[in-house]
Amino acid sequence: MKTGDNQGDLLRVPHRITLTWREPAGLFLNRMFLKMRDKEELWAVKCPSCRRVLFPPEIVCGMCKVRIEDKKENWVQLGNQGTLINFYKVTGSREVDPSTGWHPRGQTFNPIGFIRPDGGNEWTVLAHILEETDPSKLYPGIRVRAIWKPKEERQGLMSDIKFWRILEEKE
Amino acid sequence: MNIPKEDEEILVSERNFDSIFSYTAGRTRSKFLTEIRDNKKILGIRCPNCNLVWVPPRSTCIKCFAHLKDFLEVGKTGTVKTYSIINIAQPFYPDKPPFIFGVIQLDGADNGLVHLLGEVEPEDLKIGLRVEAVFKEERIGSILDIKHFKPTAIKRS
Repeated sequence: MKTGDNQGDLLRVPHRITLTWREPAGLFLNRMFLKMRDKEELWAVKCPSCRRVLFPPEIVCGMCKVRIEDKKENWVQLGNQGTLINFYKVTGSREVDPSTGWHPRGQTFNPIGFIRPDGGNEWTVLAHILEETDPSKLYPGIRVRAIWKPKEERQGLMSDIKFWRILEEKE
Repeated sequence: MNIPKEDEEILVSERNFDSIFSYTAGRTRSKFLTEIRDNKKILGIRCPNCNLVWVPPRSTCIKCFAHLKDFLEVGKTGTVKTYSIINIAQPFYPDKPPFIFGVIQLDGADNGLVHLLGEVEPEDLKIGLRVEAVFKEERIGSILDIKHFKPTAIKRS
C-alpha cells in the first residue's frame, strides 16, 4: 500500500481489554492439587492402554486417545524426588513489553527444569523452577527434590512446590 | 463417567487478564477521526452495490465485500435505536458509572454507531429519541472527541 499520497494523518487507536473469570481445574487436576496442598504428595494417572504415566494428570491420554477412568488402579503416586532431564537458563523477558517499555534486564532468574519425579516413566515430565541459579552446577540426570511451601501458605497451585533443590549425595 | 466424590473440595482459581495496547486505525478510519478532529464532521461511506451507508466508515462492505471509497458526510443528529445503562465500572470504559451506552443511527446512515448518551435522565430515554452530537473543545483524533449525544431541543410530537 502506498503511503505519503496526501491522504491525511494516519492515527492509532488506544485500547484496553480486561477480563476476570473463575476457573475450576477439572476433576483430575483438582484432585492432584488437593493432594499437593494437603499431603505434599504428587499423584499422576497411568494410561491403561499404553502405560504412560501422565503428570499433570490428563483425562484422555494424548497419544492413544483412551479415556482414563477415575479408578484406583489408574492413579500412581510419584515421589518427592526426581531426576532432572534438562533445563534452560532464563535470562529475562524475551521481548520488551510494548505497553510499558519494561524489560527486566540484569535480574537473576531461576532456571526452568524438566523433572521426572520418581515413579514416572519416559513420558512423565514436569516443568518447574530450580533453586540453583548457577547453570554450571546443573546437568541432565542430577537428582533433585521438591521443597514445599509451609502448609499455611499452600493454596492448591503448582507453586505450592517452592522449587526443586539439588539432592546432595547420601543425604 | 468421571464424577467428583461427594466430599471432595473443588478448587476454583480467580483469573484476570489486562492488556493495554493500540492498533493502527487504517486509512479509512483515520480519515473519519481526523474529520471529527479538524472539521467536526461525521463521515460515512457508501457501498455502491448494496447502496448502504456505513458509519463509522470501513474499507470493505461487510455484506458484499466490495472495496469502498465513496465518503460522504452524515448528519450530526440521529435516532437512538437501543441503549444500555451501565452501572458496573470497568477499567476500559470511557466514563465512570452510571452512564449510558447508546446505538445511534445518524441521519443518512444505515447502521448504528455505538456512543455515549448524555445530558438525559434515564427515565426520559426511549428508543426513537432524537439526539445530536456534542463535540469536545480539545479534540485529539479519537472517537471520544464527540463528548456524547444529547437529546435535540425540538421534541418529537
